[in-house]
Amino acid sequence: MSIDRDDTRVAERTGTEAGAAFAARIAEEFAPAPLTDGQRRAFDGALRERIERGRKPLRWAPALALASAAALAAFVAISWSRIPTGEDAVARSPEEAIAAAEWESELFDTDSFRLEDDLDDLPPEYAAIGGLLLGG
Amino acid sequence: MDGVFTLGSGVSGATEASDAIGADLDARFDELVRTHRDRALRLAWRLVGGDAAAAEDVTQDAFVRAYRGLAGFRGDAALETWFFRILVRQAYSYRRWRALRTLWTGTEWTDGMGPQVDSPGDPGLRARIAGAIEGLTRGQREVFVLIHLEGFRVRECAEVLGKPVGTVKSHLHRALAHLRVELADLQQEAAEGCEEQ
Repeated sequence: MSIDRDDTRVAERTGTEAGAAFAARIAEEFAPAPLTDGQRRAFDGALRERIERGRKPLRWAPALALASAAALAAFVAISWSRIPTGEDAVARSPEEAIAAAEWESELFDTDSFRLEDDLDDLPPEYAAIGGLLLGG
Repeated sequence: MDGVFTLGSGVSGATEASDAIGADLDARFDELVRTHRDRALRLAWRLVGGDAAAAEDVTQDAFVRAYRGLAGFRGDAALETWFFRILVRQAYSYRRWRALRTLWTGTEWTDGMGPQVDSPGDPGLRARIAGAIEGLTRGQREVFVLIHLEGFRVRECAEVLGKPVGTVKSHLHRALAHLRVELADLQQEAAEGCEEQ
């Protein structure tokens, strides 16, 4: 690929000589400072580091995958061991079952909950606002 | 850079044949970096609006991608064309990410991220040019930067961008028309310079 400016027909691309001069002026003004040798070395060093860094994970990726699989297997095994099976699965006493049912009904049963009851605990002005909002 | 990038030779269990292929790829990559580093940085700088740090990131990313893809490069296009295509796409990805970040944080891109102060020339004029180029569409901007600022030929630019020559010419025409309006004083100055000659 030849990208030498002399090799390009600038006037043809811009239509006129003034257009070419205009584009050249923009190219001249809108350009970064040329790289110094030190900057080139720093760039190459950073690039080398990035390429090396990108390659390293490949070396320990199998070990990481193995460790992840082992951790997952251990988690699943422990979780399964905590699930009651056989006789243990029906070992809950009737009292325990009733207590659990009460707890669940308290949590989910909204019939026994009345917001108005809580208004009595509020300072009078807040209770008045609450009453207005509740239509009471 | 003295042949420091190793492709095939770093692979465990590599045979002599793959070592030879790796060494050949290393040499090609070294050559690519040495030949195009400066131009790539300048092109990226112009495509991202004069942000030196962003230009370096974009160029590094493009070289890393080229490094990874070099072994699979089939030679359908010139190596340079292939590399600059990666670079232009990388610059566009960066710009998209930056636009998203700007939208998310609500901060203006120009806050400390515009053309760097160590660049030559008039900083005010440079900022105006950067602003005018930012006002172009993606296609217009890429075509204008590649052809007018980096000296690519229309056909080469079309290959890099993967667009028909006619589309490239159309973008170029519209980009110039836009910039002539936005930078009317520069246009006037250039026209007067030509008349004097």
